[in-house]
Amino acid sequence: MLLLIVLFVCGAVVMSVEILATRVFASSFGSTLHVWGALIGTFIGALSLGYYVGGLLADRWPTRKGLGVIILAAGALILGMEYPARSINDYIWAMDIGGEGFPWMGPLVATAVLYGLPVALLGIVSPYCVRLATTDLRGLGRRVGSFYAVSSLGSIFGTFLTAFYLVGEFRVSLTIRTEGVVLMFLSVPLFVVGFFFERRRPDAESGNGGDRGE
Amino acid sequence: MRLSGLAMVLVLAMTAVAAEERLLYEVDSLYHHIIVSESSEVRVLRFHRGPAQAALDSEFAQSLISLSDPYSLRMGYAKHAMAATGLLNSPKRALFVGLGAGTLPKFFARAFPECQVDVAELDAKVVEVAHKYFFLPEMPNLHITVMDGRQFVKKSKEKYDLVVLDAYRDDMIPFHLLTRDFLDELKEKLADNAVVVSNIAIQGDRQLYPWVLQTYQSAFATVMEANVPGTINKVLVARTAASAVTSADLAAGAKALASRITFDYDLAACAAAYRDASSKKVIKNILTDDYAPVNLMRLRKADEKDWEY
Repeated sequence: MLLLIVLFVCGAVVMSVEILATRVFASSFGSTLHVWGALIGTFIGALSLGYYVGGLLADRWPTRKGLGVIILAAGALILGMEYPARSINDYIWAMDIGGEGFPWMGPLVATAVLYGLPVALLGIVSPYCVRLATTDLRGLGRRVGSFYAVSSLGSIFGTFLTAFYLVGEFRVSLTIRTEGVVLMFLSVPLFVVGFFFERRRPDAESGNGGDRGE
Repeated sequence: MRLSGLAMVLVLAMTAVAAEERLLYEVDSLYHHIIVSESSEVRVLRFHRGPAQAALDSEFAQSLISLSDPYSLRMGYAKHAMAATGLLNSPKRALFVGLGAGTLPKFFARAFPECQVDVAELDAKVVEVAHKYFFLPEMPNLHITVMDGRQFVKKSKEKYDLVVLDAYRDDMIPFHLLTRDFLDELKEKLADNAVVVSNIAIQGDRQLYPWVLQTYQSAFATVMEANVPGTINKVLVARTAASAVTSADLAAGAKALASRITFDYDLAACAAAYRDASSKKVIKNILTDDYAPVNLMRLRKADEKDWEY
């Protein structure tokens, strides 16, 4: 159940931050197709990287503590990067990387700098949750399916909540910071469970990925 | 017999409408669904999505020109905006954000041949259509750049005597061109005594309008406001500190302008439509880059929280 909540919230935050990023970017890079394209592409790219690395990490350290560290770091980065975001964007804008011919390069680099790492960290969450929930192969398909579904439902929730409500009621900066804090709080129950209930599981100590069929 | 007669009349009426306005060109560009249509006397530019016929039936046009005189200003907001340019004293550089059919930049560039006119238009196809269908000629003092308006202002190294903001469509408002942050960036690119003219197509009873007005009030010493008759458009004329605009200035400016150039409409009446809105009571709320939900505000009715009636 905890893992489902984690997946839902992380899915929601990724999409919410993506939509809010278009508002942050408009003041530096305008509101153009290049901005949208750069943002969406880079977010998906960062998620892909996260999925891949997440698989490796989950096999190496399949613990809730490990997942807690990832989510805590993602939250701290989202919170921390919000403060200098507009200055960093203006700095990258002033460098005029793409010149006249490649106006999408500025927003692309800015997305990678501001959101690449936290979004990649959030990408780690999905394979990590699958690994943590897998103790035997029976019912694996159903479990993975429900994980994907809950994660995507979270993304839908985050998209709609942000576009239809949050942007209208709250300052963009406040919303992004709050989402960073929400992620940091989300890591707390993972640490609690990790430290008090997970200590002696052979699964957590073995340190290799070959113990699936126990 | 009577019924078929009625049907006959209906059929005739419908063919009359169809014959009256015919579609010339329709294209999906990067940012718009561009529709060019023509009736006996006028050619119309629309950015409506959906079936072409629905757009043709709709009254709301982006711009229109007279086929008998492509230089004449036919849109009410353009007539009022032009009246405000009487305030200018031998301007050297002007910027128009948003091209549309190009009627206003074209008219201005011809009226002030000594003035270099920059236009920032987001959509390359709009530029093409303005040249091809709306008689926008190549003019030595008219320079069109395909770029986001805010990007253009940030990049520009010029000092402008006039800036005309005409990029606000009723149903798709670029929030980043309405915020205090943008107006501050714009002010850095203004010459002394520069005039900012803004065409705002927002229904007056909606929450967005008082917010926009308050944002302008916060950024400029003077804000004059004209309601364009028969439309939802308001034209704002703003000036930075130390050079307040008065109704008398506008009237004198329009008079001087009309003595120099021929207008086929009453320029003095347009100049007289402006009212001082600098101290119009609005509850303290301004649009910023951090908080500007313009598409939601456009739909919400204004109440006592937004507007002191």
